[in-house]
Amino acid sequence: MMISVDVRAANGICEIYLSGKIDEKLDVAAIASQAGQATKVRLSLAQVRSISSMGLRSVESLVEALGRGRDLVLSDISPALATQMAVIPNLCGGVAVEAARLPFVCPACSAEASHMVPWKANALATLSPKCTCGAVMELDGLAEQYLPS
Amino acid sequence: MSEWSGRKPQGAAVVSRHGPTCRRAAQSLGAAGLHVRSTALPSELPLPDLADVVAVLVDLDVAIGSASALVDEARAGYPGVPLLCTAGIDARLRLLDAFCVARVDHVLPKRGALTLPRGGMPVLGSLEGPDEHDLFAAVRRLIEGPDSPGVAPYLLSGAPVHAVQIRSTTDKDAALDQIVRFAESMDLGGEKLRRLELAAEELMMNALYDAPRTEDGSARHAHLDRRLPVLLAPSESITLRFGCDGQTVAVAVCDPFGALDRLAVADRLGRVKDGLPRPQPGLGGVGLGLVMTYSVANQLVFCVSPGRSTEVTAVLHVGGSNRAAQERGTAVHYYEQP
Repeated sequence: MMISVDVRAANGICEIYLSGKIDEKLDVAAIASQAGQATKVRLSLAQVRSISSMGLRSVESLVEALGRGRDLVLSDISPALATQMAVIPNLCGGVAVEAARLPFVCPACSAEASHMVPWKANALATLSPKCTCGAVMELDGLAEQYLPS
Repeated sequence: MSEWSGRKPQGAAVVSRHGPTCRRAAQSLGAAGLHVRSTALPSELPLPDLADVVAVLVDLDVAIGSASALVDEARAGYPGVPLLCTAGIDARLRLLDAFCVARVDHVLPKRGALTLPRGGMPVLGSLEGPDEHDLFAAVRRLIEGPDSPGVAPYLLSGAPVHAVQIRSTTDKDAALDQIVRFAESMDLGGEKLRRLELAAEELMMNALYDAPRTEDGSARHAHLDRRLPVLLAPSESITLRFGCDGQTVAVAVCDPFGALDRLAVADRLGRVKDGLPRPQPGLGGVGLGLVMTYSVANQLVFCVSPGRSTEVTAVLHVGGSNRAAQERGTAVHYYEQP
């Protein structure tokens, strides 16, 4: 249930992977301190299963702390964060988001799978993933609830 | 049926020119024991052949001018009778407007409302009318009175309902684990699990931190850093109820403070239509919990007895795909009792 943090740093680049649930208990200062002297930070949130409303404040604080004096990129986000960023576009203060891991369902065989897609408007028009059965999968949700407009 | 019991049947008026809406309303309201009459013209209200009207359903899609003028016309036709509004075109915004501005206590989107293309031509034929189960449950509560019944009205008869008493932050965390295990035991995962967990957590956090009052009625915990644990007295215990019938999962949180009011609910939900702000700075709540619950639920039901109790119920459809649930939108119901 708790958040798990994995930090990998080399050559001035720090990669931080969070997984689990983000709520008010996220220790922002501890994570930020692990970024140390890195000049570039890539924050991966694709494995964050759930974010509470208090967790949004934690995410905002984390992004602010990691971005202070560093080049910060959100390399990937989960549905939990994508849905919030779709309705609060400035939640992460304009930090670039590269991709989102979103839920897909196959209209032909009903298989469900999550896939990484670019986090941008109309991303699914040309980039919807294919199912193992060969059919093009559909987002298992409304695009406006997961992607920027 | 009331005719068999010898009682004169109660009635419900429907204002709509949308065939599927009239049919759904006739089925749901009729099943609730009401005598239903429809009109496409709000100027015809009150309907001459309808007595003892206990609910008026207004389809905002029939509004030629503003929706609020239509609501006013319905209120004038049936003063003091509970009003329910439904809409399919621009449903989310128009229904929130009806709830927050026109003070309509019951708003229900039509099925298919959220699949209409943005900015596209409104096509009433692509809509199915309000969800029959949602409408049935809402009207039954209007007829029978809104006493805090937990989740039972929203589940198929016989579905087990689980109840947990919560007094502290630790209890809340344990209850959340219990709900997650319950959902996982029914193979609810991914977005369905996330939506349920979010709704349960936000409702419990509101009950623990925002609801408690001092003896003079002022907020007791609202200013607190949410990382600080709180402990309620035994008499102030919160009741969490949850259950699932395979198609629908519902979670209800009832506190004994009755501090929530309609103005606060309208203020929070109004943020959805006005565009959500960033989380409020500071140590207290971020002001987004109710909005986030609204965004994951298919029904959000408030039942408030001022100074005595507040029960908030989130109902989520989980029988089909996550997309199907999102396409249903969110109905909001507000009941107040002495």
